[in-house]
Amino acid sequence: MPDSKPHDPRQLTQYAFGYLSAKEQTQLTEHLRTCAPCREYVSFLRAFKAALREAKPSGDRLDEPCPDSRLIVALEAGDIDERTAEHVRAHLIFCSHCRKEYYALQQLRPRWTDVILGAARKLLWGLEISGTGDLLEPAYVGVPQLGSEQPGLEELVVSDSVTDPETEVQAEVRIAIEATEEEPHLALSFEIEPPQSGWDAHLFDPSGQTMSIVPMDRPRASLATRVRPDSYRVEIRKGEALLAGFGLIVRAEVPSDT
Amino acid sequence: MSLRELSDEELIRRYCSSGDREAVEALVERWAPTIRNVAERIVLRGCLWPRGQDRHEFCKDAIQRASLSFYRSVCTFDFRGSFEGWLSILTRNSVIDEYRKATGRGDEPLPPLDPLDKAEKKSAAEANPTFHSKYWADPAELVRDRELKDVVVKLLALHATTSRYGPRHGQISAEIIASEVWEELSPAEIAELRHCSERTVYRYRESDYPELPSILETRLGITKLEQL
Repeated sequence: MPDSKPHDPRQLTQYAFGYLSAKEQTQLTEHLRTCAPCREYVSFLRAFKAALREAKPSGDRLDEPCPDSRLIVALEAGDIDERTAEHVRAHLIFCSHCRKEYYALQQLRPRWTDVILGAARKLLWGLEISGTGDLLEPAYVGVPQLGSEQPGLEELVVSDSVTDPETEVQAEVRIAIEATEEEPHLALSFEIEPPQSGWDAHLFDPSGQTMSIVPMDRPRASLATRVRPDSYRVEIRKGEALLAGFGLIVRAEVPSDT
Repeated sequence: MSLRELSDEELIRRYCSSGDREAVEALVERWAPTIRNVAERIVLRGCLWPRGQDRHEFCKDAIQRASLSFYRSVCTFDFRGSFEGWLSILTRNSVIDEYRKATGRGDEPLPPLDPLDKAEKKSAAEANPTFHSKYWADPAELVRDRELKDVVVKLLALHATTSRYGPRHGQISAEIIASEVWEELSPAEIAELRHCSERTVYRYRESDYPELPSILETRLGITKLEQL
């Protein structure tokens, strides 16, 4: 490992796999001439990918039998001891058949996105996101980029595509988190396209108490205007049925190293 | 009192204590929509059907298997959890078993025919089974191997469980890396397979590749792949 960290691992990953434009590729090649940590990271990625390609399981045959279907179901349902889960997860990486079964089972689950944000100086930073949704441009910052000078934004938007399993109707739902003038207060709102009658956005406070329930039969509406950085949950429901959810954790400051 | 007015528990007890067929048929009628709904979501929305076979026909077969399994297993329900949850798991297992049978990947036998001969056989998950994958990265084994391709395979498996963002995140990103390198799928193809957006694929990939060098060093004590 290099003594210091590479500058922008995300961009270097794109570089190593040839996903940058010709101009960006040239610029980064120049940078690599003088930056040993970045050079070593790119070298690692290329060696890793080449070796992994060598290790590709041959055809349909794996070196081990597949786990019982009950274990795939139990893993997806979270009903399995951690030691067995580790082994089944490892198998899934190498077995496209079991992976396909696992993905199909996930269709039974409502979509869910968890986001961790930093809030300071009336600005917001996206620190971490996991699950099915996305942080939207121009707010996209993905996950922590250590050492990056990513500027904060006044508003971050988390988006996911939500489907009603009964009717197959689909809508794009966006949850906006806005840093307001009166720091450290935040405003939360939603947008939906197209609006859906019968769907509601439920906002829950850190203790799980309902803060607001707002019908989603309009393109946008406020969920809360003055909330402090803390943990909130927004659930999209149709009656009692949960269609999708967003877990929002807003930290009052941006950690220097996550 | 009509059978339809009886609770699930009463119907199950009637059937399992005296073999009352009408009781179990009332139960099946009550829960048939749940079986159908779960099976359809896995098969039709999850795109899990054998190539070359009509997906709706396969879905019917899967529902049929789940219904048979229902008849044969209902007496193993122990009333400790929700019946709907139990039935959902039974249906999921049945759909996967039907898929494996249809694709020639094994044929899990159905539970015993006589429901009154129930008893001792618990589901595999309840019995807390273990599964041992040779791909699971055991650092001690790895030190012995130290062959480059073994190291990267186990590094990927280790990453699936030790990602700083949690095992679910790590597993997804490891699967994405595997799909990209081994199956040579583009981000768009991976997104379609995973039922997620293309941006999500980029996000996982770009956030997790940078973790690999530190896992290699801190968990496996190897500083450079090129040294192997």
